[in-house]
Amino acid sequence: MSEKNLLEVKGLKTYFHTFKGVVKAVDDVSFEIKPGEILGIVGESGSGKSVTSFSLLKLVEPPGVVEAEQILFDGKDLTRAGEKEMTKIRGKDISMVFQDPMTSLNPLYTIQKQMEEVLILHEPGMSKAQRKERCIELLSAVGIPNPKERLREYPNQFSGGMRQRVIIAIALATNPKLLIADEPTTALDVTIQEQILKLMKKLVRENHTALILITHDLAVVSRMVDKINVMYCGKLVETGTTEDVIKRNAHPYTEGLLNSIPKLYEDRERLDFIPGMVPNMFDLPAGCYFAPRCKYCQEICRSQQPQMREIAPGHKAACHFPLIREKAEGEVE
Amino acid sequence: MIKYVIKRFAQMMAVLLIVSVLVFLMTNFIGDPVDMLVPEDATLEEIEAARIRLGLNKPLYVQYAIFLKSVLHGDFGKSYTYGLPAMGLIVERMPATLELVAVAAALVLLIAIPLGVYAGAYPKRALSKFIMSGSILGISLPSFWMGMMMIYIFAVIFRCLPASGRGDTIPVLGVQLSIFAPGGIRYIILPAVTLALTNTATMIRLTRSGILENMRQDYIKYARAKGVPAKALLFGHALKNALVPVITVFGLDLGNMVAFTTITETIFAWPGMGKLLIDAINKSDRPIIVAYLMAAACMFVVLNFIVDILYTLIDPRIELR
Amino acid sequence: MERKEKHEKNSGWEQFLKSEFFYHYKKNVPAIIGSILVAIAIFIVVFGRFFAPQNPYDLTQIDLADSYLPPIWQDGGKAGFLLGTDAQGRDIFSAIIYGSASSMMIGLVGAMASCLIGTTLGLIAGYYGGKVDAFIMRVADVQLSFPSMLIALFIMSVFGRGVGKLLVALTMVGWVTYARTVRGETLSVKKMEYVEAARIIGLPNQKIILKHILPNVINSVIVLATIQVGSFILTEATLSFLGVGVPITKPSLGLLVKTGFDVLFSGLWWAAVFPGLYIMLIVFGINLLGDFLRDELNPNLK
Repeated sequence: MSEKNLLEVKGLKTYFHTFKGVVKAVDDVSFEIKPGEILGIVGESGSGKSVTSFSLLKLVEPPGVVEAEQILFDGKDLTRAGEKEMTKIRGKDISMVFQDPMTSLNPLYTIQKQMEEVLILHEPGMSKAQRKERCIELLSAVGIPNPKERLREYPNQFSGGMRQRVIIAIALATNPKLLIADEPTTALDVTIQEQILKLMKKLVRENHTALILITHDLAVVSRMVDKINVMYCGKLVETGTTEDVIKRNAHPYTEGLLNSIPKLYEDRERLDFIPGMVPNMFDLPAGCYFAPRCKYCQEICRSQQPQMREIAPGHKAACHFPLIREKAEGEVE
Repeated sequence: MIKYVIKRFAQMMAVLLIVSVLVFLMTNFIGDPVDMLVPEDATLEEIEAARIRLGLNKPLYVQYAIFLKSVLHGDFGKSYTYGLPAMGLIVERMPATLELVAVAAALVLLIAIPLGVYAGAYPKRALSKFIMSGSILGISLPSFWMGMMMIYIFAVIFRCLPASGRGDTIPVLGVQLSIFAPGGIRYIILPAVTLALTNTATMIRLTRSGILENMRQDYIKYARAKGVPAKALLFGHALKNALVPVITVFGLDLGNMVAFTTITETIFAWPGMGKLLIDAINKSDRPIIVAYLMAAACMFVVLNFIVDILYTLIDPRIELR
Repeated sequence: MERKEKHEKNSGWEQFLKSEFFYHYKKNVPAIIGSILVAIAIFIVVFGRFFAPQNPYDLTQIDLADSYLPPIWQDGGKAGFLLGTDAQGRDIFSAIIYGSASSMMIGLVGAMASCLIGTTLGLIAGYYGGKVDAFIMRVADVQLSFPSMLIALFIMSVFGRGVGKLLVALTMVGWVTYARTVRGETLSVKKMEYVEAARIIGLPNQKIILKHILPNVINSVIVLATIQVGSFILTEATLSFLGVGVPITKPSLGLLVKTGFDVLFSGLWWAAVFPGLYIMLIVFGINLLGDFLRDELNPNLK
């Protein structure tokens, strides 16, 4: 376990300077990931989880501005990397899978052209024949039948699930060290979601690729990942191993998220939900951002922002009154 | 594909038929052609004889049938003013007009696409804003006035380019063209620039908005995440997508330019079919007007057909139906 | 307390001043230039007759002895004839004032008529679909495959010159853009759930169209109409220049340029330059404004 971190993010801040004011989409977020590890980033929409991933690759468009004390990736500080260096890293060492496979591929180019593009860019030594072979190999690896024929087809001839498989194939083409998947299954049918996730986990494990899985679905995460970051309003509120976060969650927000997952074997009249609304990003509360919706809220929560504190080794939460739980007992997986 | 072509061809014919009906009906309103044929002091009997000779005493649908039949034979009657077959006059002047349109179209593409791509790729730069304001000015210019101003500046003040006419022509592959004749280019510069102006402006705007719109798309962001460098994003990914609508509009623009040659040719006394039309309108020379409209209709219909085919070739999403 | 009252009184205007629309407008130099140009042009149309030195279309006011006078700042210029005179001794400045009033009226009325007819047909085609839709759109398709300038030219050459006929011709070519855009947007709005809901509760179709669909397409219509006023001013000028637009006895900027063209080669440049320049400025102003409106109201509009 003493392996060196692949990625160390410290104090990541991504602010959008808009007409109405500054939106702190990601505010002072720090985390790290080891080679081959799977990290889940969980939160509601607008919590800053997607922006976090785009910030790592410096893909945030104006008016967004990315600042960080440090984004140490594989020994390099990405905060200091220029656009040229980033271009070399994107798709090569860090690749991404986007949320909507229907819009991620260029409609006017064949699948082959779009797969080969990444190889031409990042594996200049490959011959034409080798590239084609690699494409076929990748397509079979992601479970696309008749890869040879399908290479010549256009994206509009593929279904959503198939396109996402293609995108995963492209992402893995260069054997990246880190894969970032931004809600990779949200736009897909429920029946296909599971297949894609399993496929991704399998491939990542085989290649010893680290994976950051961004999702709003805690149920998905709990089956897939080693570590979990929970985000709320641009802040990291809880981080720890999957077991820590799922079974011994310390932040009331995490508890709320967990209680809102339907459980098959539990006989409940209705699902729990988190009361209230996600606050307006232009007008955040003074203290803890979750305070207005928190059932444990105290006076201090409204005035003072809680800092990340270690609750157990490797398990941190940003809460003035972290929930202390006994070691998992009687909880059904 | 063949099925599609046949279907489109049938549509083309239908459109041309509709146009022929409209043209026939409306030209019936253009002054009584008999007035143009008989002397001013003609007697009623003479006028009546002329009517019968022209078939104007028959019912409208019979007249149309006769009209359609002769149109299909390429016979539009003789021009009242020239005394020659109208279609022959049009065909004779067509090369001059097409030459002008071709040069103007080349100017449009060569100027508009690079400027539009630049303005779309770097929308915040001062030069882009300048290009965009310039293009608005371009669409706001009355092109006939612009032509005049160019004549005044280059022909009257500086005396460096001819004010009007086409110069000598030499046959190229059996077609009389001036641009390859010695000094021919000097004649075509001003009319071609005038003709190209408005379309260049609209084309710049279209290219720019296409680039801007596509650069915002997910697939561009995804390509960036793949490590595609900025230049390749622009030229490899966004440009091709942006060009899809540009092709359609360019097809329409070619038609527009043919129409606008009426103005350009009038100003520069360019001996093409546009000037012929305007002269014919002013003299109520019905056969020429009809021949021009039918010739132009054929041109536009064929143009649209070519654009449609190109469209399906460039964009795999479009299904041939 | 007093301040608050005032605030409430002006809330509509103040809300506008605080809106994003106005915020963008303030920062948009071309839009401001455009609105100034348009404001000046409208001012001249409304009040021009009161400060025009003469009525150039009243034959008793013009004097042939004043013909071909150059602009006032050139040698031979004569006081009272700011921009010089033309062949009949008409004051160009006054002629522009009178001509622009008629040109702008034609542009405005033509665009409004096209807008009304085109929007109505677009709403009908998009909302009801079926045969009506197919028919309207086929007509639009056929028409669109021909350059509108040629159609207008043909109509005018058939029916002859005249302001009324010109308006008819402009409307006949102008309605198509609205019909197509509005139909497309109606189709997508129609699918929205609140429209479905309105249909389910049995709201009459006319009411749904006016209350739920029209407000969604109005932005595009405003943008299209603004730009069309400019393009119709150009079309009117062009047709008049070609001799098939406004009758020679009526004021028109295009006709002024035409008469100027006849004497251009003898070096009498002002008669052609100033009217054309003024057309350009009006249309430029309208287009700058239209461009801004498009960016604000519906950036996807072509």
